[in-house]
Amino acid sequence: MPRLRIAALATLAALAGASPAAAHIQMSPAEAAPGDPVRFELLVPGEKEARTTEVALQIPKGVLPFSWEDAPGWKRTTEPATDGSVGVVRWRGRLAADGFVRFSFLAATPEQEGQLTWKAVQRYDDGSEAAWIGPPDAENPAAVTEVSAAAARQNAGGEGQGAGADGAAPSTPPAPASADAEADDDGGGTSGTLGLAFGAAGLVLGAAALVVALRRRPRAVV
Amino acid sequence: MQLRRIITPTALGAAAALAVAVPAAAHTELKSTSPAAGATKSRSLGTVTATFTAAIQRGTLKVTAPDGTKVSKGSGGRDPRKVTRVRVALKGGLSAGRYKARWTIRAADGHEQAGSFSFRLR
Repeated sequence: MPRLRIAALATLAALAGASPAAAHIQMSPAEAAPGDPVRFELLVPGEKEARTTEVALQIPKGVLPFSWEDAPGWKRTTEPATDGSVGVVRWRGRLAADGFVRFSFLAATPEQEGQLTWKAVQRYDDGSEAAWIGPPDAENPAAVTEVSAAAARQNAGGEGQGAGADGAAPSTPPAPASADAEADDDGGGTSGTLGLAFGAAGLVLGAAALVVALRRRPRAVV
Repeated sequence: MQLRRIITPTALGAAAALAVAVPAAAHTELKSTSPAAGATKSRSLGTVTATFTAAIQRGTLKVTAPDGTKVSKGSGGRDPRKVTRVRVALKGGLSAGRYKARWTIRAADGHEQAGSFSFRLR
């Protein structure tokens, strides 16, 4: 029955053709608070027989990445935008045909509400590429994060305003330290001094531990 | 056994030192200013800037004259052309003397900091 065979082949072809759309590059979270350090995660599925060898992600304007998680087996490079922020981040590696990889990073969201469009290009070892740059209803949509004051604050990294007390209320920068204002010689920043103090305290602790250890050391041994 | 009595406290001490010292490395710090701290510039100086080691979300910069009056136009802000810099324009007709610039920033990681530097005009 040649007709049946053709129908079966056509069905297979339709399935094969349709499957790439099922495995989209995704970005989470879908919603984030403005001016908040957020942990973003780009999920990259290998969506065809060829292996993914490169993923390039355009960082939306106003997003400030400051920390990157290492994805084992992948090398990361960044290219600056004109204002010196990160413009494009590129990961190179090799993904199993049925594998996926996650690229995670911490970044501050813009202070204005709006939509972040994450344009990404996925390249394969057969020379082909998929450009995830279309609108949400396109076959290859760019991932979108909605920046909204209604979203919960993450404060990823723990340095900023927490999710507690004032919630999404915008923070006021502290006044300059009064000690600094009085000083004749100007200091750099307040936090640099604090960091140095902590570092020094750590060094003293370490040295003290060493001394204790050496004094306890019995003569007979070693 | 005896060796462990030596190694354990030493390792703990070293770990404590590292644990305490490392967080400071992640912080955004002041890298340079214009004018440089302690520098002397002409009274026609138009702009003051402070540049940091990493991107900042926002910032302010205010400059005061020797008598304490504010001589900067507004509170300054992040430089639209450079994401690591805060800048502010100065008013005209400045007199000679020591000026003080005070900055505040919120780093990309949300850490808020403040500091100051001074320079001379002649």
